[in-house]
This record gives sequence, C-alpha cells and structure tokens, in this order.
Amino acid sequence: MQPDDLKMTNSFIINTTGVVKRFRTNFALKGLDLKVPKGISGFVGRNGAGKTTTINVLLGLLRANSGEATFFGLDCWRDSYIIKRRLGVMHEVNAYPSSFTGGHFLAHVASIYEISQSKQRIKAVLKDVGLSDAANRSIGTYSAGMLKRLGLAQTLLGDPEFVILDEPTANIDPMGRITMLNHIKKLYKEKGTSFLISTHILSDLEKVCNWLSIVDSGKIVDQGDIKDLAEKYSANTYRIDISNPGLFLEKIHHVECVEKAWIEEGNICCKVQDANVFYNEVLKIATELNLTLKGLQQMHCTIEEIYKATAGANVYEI
Amino acid sequence: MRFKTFCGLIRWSFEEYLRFPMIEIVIAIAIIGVLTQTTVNVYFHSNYEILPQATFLLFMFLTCSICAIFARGFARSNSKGEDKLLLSYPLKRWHLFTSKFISLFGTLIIVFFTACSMHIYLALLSPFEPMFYVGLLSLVFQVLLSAAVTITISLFTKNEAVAILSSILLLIGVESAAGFGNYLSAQGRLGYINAYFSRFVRPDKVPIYESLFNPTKTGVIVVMAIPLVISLVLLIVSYVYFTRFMEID
Repeated sequence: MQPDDLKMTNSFIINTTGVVKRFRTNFALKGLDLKVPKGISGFVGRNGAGKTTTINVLLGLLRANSGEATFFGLDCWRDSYIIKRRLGVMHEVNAYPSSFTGGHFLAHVASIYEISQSKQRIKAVLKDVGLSDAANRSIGTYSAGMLKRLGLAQTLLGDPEFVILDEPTANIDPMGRITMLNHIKKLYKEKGTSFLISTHILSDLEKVCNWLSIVDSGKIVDQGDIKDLAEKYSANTYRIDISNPGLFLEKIHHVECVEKAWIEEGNICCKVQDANVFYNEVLKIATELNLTLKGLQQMHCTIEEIYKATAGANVYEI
Repeated sequence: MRFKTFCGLIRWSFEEYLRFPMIEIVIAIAIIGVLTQTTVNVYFHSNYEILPQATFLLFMFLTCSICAIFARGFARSNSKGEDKLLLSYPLKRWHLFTSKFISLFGTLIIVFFTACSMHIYLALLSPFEPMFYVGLLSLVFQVLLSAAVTITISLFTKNEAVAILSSILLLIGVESAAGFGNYLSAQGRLGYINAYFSRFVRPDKVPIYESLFNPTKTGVIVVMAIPLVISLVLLIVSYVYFTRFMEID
C-alpha cells in the first residue's frame, strides 16, 4: 500500500475493499469499495443495489465471502461488539416490540448501553425527537412517522460517534422530514456525530450531506465529496435559455463538439467537449436563426443529476 | 456486559417473546389432563394413580406448546427483524442466545409445573405426593428435548411455520415409531421412570405397566441420560451455529 493510500484509509471511518457477498448463486455485493469519512454521508442506489446488505456486513450481521470491511479501523465481523459500542443504527424495517411503551423500550435500550441516569437521558432524547407525549403509549399504536422518530431516539440514546440510518425519512410527513434532517445537522455541528444515510429521497441528502457514495449492482460506481462530484459531473454541461428551443435543438445536435443535447424545463441542456468552440457555435446558430439568447450558463449538478449520470445507465425506461 | 444488563435482556425476552395466553394454556392443560381420565375405577385413595397417566397426556400439549413458543423465539424473531435490532446494539451473540433460552425454558417450566400442580389439586391429591415430583422430573427432560429440537430446526430453517411443523412431526413421529414400551419415546421414558420410582414410593400400588419395563437402576439412568445427551448435543450445535456462523439478514 502506498503512503497516500494509507493516509486515505486512516481518514475513513468505514472502509471496505473488494467486499463480495453471495447468497447461494446470487451476488449481492460484487467487490464493494466503500469509503465513508467523518461527516454526513449519503449512500444511494436503486432497490436491490446492495445498500442494506452493505449495512448488514458493516454491522457484522452478515459475513463477507471475500474482501475486507473495517469500521473505525476494526474488522466488521470479528470486532462487531466493540464497533457497536460506538455506533447507533436505525434499520429500515421496524421490529420494535409493539407491546412495550416507547419509554419502556428506551429504558431497555439504555440498560444495554449501560447509561447512567438513564431516566433523564430518555426524557431528553424523547423531547429531542418530539415523542415526549407518546412516551407512555404502546409502540403498537404509533404511526409510521412516530416509529421513525422512535428509531432515531433509540439510535441516539447511547450517544454514538457514528450513526447509520436506513431510510430515515421514508413515511414521514414533510414537517417531520425537515425536523429530522435539521436534527441530524445539529448533532453533527454540536457533537460531531457522523452519519451514513441510506435513502432513495435524494433531495433530503442534498440538504445535509457532504459526502456521497453511489452503489449499483453491488459495486460503488462513484463516491466522493459532493462538491467534487458536482463539479465532476457538471463540467462541460451547459444550460441555454433561448426563444425557440425546439428549432435550436435541431441545429445544435449537428455541432461537432456537442456530445449530447436535450430539453429540460424549457431550456436546452448540452454536454460538450470544448467549451470555447461551443460558445462560438451557440452565438452563430442563434444569429443564423434569428433567435433571442436569454442566457447561457454552466449547469450546477444536483445529487439527482450525479445519480443519473452514474447509476442512471440502469434507470428504468418508461 | 454487567450481570444486571444480562438480566435486563432476559426480562426483554420474557416480555417480548411471550405474548402467548399463558394462563389460558395452563388452565386448559390442567382441566383436560383431569377430565380425560378413566374415572370408573378411580377412588379417592387411588387418585395418585392418575398422575402418570396425566403426565402422558401432557405430552401432546407439551410438544405443541414448546415447538410453537421456541419457534417464535428463535425463528420468528429472526425473520421479523427482532434479532437484527438486538444485534445492532452492543450485545454479544451468546448474550442473545442464552437470554432467549433461559427466558423461554424458564417460562415453559413454570407453565407445565403450574399445570401439574393444578392437576394435583383437581385430583384431590396432596402436594406432598412424591409421585408428583417424579412426574415433574420427567417433564423437565421432555421440555429440554423438545426445546433443543425446535431451537435447532428454527435456527437452520429461519422460518416459524416450517420450524413448528417440522419439530412437531419429528417429535410425534419418533413417539409413534418407538411406541409406549420403548424408552426412545417420551411416553416410554415417563412410564419407565414412574414404574421405577413407584416401587420405592408406593410399593403397594405399582403401576400395571411395571412388568412391561421391568425397570432397573442402570435402566433408569439410561432413560434419563438419553434426552439429556441428545438435548445437550443439539443445544451445543445450535449455540455454536448462532454465535459463530449464523447470518442475520
């Protein structure tokens, strides 16, 4: 391993190298190289891409057939107990004991984490997630949103260094989503708690994440700092606001430096090879066709666009 | 992990896995155990004779209840994500396995001991009747064996329905194949133990099937060792599989 690689490895909390996980003949992970640094990270991929399997491998619930998976520099299968002392997890599927009250369930969790002054801690966590009023209600009577908030409460109870959230905002109303995302940001800022958020709701990640890992068919297709990824995928992609986009599109298609052109929300979007040549060609075509050029700017890439550009090759055609 | 935390986990198992109508089960077993006796020749002074018969009758209830409860604790908790939730906390796998086993086994022992005690009360017998405790001893062996079989099948199949059906079919199948006179069957073992101890406790009222077994001291040790050894082997296999190899998805 090169010194630079070593430096990189040490800076990541989660580091997997060539992880393969097979269920009989079905490969769920095909050499996964996931890197997650300190901070709030997003983990995205379509259904069946391997997100939950990856989380299960990281938690030591599944054993990788080959490859190496480390969490805090410790082996995920062998040292899972030590890892979990520093970790909080919220799974996608709710398996909380429905006959317990919220407070009673959290008291059990607090006893597992051996929390001193657990009553005060439970009260504080319930208040943080907005479940104080429902603490004495049976979990079986909770709504989907309340279950998610209870999930977050049990995750944060042990004051973890790192939190894994699997679909934290699914089934939550808009205000609940905003509150949860704000809570995640606040925890990172105030306590330095890092998060790995696995979700399909890309707009949520946009609001909180500073790192993104995209998984597809059991492999990481790209990952990195969100700003770097946005720059990478928006490079040489331009948006043109012009008076007759349909007519302009026909012409711009035939320009040699244009790789791809399409209409999005009434504007022309172009992926080009040479920006200088492209500028000249746009002006030339607009003058030729007597069209009004209202704007020409480099596109800012959203997480959705990064996702489309990476795992998008497998996006379902409708 | 502190002992207190481990006890907390056992309490969690008690509260979470055992939402079965236990009191109803206990009462039903006791009533059926008494009502299904042949009452023609039963007199007050000979009531104790129905104790071993009632213990035999418990076998079906015992098998079905144990298979259902242990399959719920080990297979269903896996498929419903309860194991996944618990193992996401700082718990070692042996904590989970042991706490589940202790809580389920303890509860079943309490249930069947209570059923037997109610039975003794309904049959107008004294709780100091020694044969009552012989019946309890036989039940412990059978509970242990049924539990070990169900745990092993539950862990390997990870499916509650399959685990219940397979365990019941296996246990009742062995029972039918071996027959009453053979101590490979639960009823055979119960009969053997009862016949052996009756000689000392009630030499005047030795059960009629005593001649079928002609019990000896070595024989009774073997009869008690068979379920113990099988249970231990199955429990060790299950424990090693759960703590070392089992994947929870």
